[in-house]
Amino acid sequence: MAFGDPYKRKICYYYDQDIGDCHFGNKHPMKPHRLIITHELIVKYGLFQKMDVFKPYLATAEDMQEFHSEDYVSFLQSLNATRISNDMKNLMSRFQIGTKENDCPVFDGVFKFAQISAGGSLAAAAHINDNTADIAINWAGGLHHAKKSQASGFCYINDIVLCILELLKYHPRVLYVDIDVHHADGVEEAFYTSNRVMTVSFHRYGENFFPGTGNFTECGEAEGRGYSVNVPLKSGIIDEDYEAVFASVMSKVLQVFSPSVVVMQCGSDSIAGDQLGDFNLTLNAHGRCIKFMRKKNIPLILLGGGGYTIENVSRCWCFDTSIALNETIPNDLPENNYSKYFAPLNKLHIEPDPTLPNRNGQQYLSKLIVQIVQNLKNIEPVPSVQFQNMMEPIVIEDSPKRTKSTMSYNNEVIEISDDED
Amino acid sequence: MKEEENETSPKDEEKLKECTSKTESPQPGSSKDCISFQNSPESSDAQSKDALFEPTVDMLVNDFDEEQTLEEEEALAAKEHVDPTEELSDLQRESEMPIEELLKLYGCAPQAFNSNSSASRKRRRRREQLSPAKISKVDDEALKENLKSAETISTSSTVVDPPVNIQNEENAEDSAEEDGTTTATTNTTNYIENQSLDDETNYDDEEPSELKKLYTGLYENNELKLLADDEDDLDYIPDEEDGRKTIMVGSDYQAVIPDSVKYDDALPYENEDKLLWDPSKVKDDDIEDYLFKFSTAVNGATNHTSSQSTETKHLRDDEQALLLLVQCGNNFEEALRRRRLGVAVPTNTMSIWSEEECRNFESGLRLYGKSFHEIQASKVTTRSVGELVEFYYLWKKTDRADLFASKARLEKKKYNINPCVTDLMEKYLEEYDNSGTNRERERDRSVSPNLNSNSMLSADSKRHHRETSSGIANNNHNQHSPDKLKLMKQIDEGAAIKTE
Repeated sequence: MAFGDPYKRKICYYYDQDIGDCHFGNKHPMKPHRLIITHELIVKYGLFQKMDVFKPYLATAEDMQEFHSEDYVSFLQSLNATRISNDMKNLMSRFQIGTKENDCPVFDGVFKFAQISAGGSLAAAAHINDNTADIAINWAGGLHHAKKSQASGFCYINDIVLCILELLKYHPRVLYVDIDVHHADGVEEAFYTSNRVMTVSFHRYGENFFPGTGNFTECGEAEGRGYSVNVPLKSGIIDEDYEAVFASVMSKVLQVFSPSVVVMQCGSDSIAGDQLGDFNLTLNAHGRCIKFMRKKNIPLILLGGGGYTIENVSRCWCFDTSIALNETIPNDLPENNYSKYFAPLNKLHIEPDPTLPNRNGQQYLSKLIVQIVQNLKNIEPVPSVQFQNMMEPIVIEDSPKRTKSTMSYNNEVIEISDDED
Repeated sequence: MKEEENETSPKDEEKLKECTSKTESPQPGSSKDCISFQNSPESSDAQSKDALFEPTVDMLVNDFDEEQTLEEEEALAAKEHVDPTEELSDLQRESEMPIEELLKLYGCAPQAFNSNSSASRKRRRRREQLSPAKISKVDDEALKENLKSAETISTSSTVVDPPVNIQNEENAEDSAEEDGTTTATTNTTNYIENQSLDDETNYDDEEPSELKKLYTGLYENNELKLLADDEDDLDYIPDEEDGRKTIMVGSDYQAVIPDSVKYDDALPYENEDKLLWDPSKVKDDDIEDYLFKFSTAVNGATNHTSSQSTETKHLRDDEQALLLLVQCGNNFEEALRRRRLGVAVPTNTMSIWSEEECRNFESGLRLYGKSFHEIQASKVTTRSVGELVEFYYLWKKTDRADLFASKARLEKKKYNINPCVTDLMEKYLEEYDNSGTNRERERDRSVSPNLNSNSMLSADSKRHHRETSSGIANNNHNQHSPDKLKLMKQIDEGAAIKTE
């Protein structure tokens, strides 16, 4: 394990500016250019120089076929925005590309888009596998809805699954955590019957929110029973609640699963003000979740994902990068090429929406945690080597400062502490 | 467990059994270990002092929210013209009925319950409200037995409901006395044994007002509405694409997991990632020094004024500077020398956009909206689609673009803006779309994440819609980087521009 100095981690960052040239078409909320703006902020904040920066190689069709079906990948490769023949229309329908909802349109460079995204995640996996990185960041990745033979929810190729499959070659157990506002159905489905990958997703659920799966009762099948964890939340959740739920669930997950590597999808559509998401989180909640995982000293891969209000996406991922680096950055945004997007306040952090009611009652959250933790207890304990770092006891917090939203189970309060590690 | 599942599958029942049997370890009073629903009511009761009614997690997940629904319930009641007092007397009557008659009244066979999340809200609320709350003096054994049988029969009902009964039953005595209220009858409770658990089981409630609230909506024509598979519900929206809402199991869906775990022979990474920057090669201080020098170095063509922000201690990290440094083999002097000489920095730079190109671009936008592909094909053939996209994101924040947008605004009606969104240009342009359907039209929300944007932009009762102060942002020119400022100015002037 490349731990070294526990305060300093080796961070790898993957970026290819060509992805900014991809455009999903008119009126589509997914805007790859958000990655360019994110990168701009990372550079201007001086974070760029502290990481190993790579322009990743482009994932090939063979790479993608490690998970996806051959005909799906060849079809994607052959897609050309200008020429859509009639026989292609059948295939488009079968693979859910260019359908009437237009979630996954045909656009110029769609295959390259997938290549860059998957390439970064594969590179991340490789660097983690050979211990050249403690934390690997690929904001172009995290496209968690793509299925084996189907595009879905703006995702064509599931770079996360590819990344995890690569990790599984050298790691016995991989933990996947997802804080995107949408349920990580693609990743969950891929590993639904496996006990080597535990997928934990915190997401909005109910009222037909996309994709519709992700109730807490979904817990896996066959050998994978209990290894899919879903935390369904309601609209308007605030920082305090979210962090408490996250900490409670993740503490238990780490205790029972003992992963040797963690892949974390950091979709920023869980941030307040997102075009599609309706949570009410600030960057702090997001960052603290990452910090919580980072502090566990397990190799960590951070991936992007959702995020449809692009100035907030870039703020969020820039801040998350600083958390990974354990660097404090000021709230005033540095001058950058996209300053006008952040005018007039030009601040990094955003405020939650005061008008959005929080539908997550304390009772609901407590019960949810209790039930989820209970389900986790039913998993077979990990038999082999105990990784010392993972057996951290649950933090018992007796500070009185947490007032209204103290989550507890087993009479222990779980909280993500703010101190530097 | 998907609520939309119409088919019963043995896996589900099994799952249900397993999940619940594991949580079924009746140890009333043990609060420390193994807190499951049936054992935790004391602790949660302690928190919510007057919990007369214990909703299950699943009910809560399915949006049964006391605060939320009580008002709606009352509104519903008003609509349905249900007389509360009549209901109360009905209940009273029922409580005095012998069990057999009650059973007959409610249909004693456990219902195959289909909890369909796409069913109407009303229906869901009705169903969920009626989980038993406080039941006094119920036969433990009989109940558990029936729970088990109910479990096997109910198919796609959710996992957590069964334990609720046990919970309530075991704490019936405590809570009944605790609350010091008049629990009416014991007879009513017995028939619960034969009911499916998420059915509209009758239950006692200590306070008549609570009862009234909780029962409104339940009765239609004074008859308990039982939700069965074949019940007609006019609000039911059939799920055409069930596959999307369920996690599928099978070789067509799961990934093939590599068998072995190799601990030792991790091959060196061979793919051609291009290393752009390696921080370990140079010291932090040297870098800071270099960057400062870089930004103050006089370059023949452009006059770089470095503005080290007084508010922050961070230097403007110039990516180009670092890339140049790498190119020079981390030799600071060489890199600075090249900078001074005005050697072109190694990045993908877009060449000059002519005025004609700009104009064509704008007219293309007007015609096609953000279909850059079409704009490229018909208007700005001299540029690649990628260049158009890049140009677009720079252009949209310029004065020239503001002009474009205000013209657009005049022609369109006012629309709603999310207060947390500061980028309004996208909204302007989206109004322009001539091709394709306007996404603000109704679509199946569950099918596409795209849909939920509608709830933000269209009339959504949860959000205020107002012009924000950031709406004025478009006219605010503060804090541009010197090079880009120049670019913007040139775009505005319609002159030839150069990025970098």
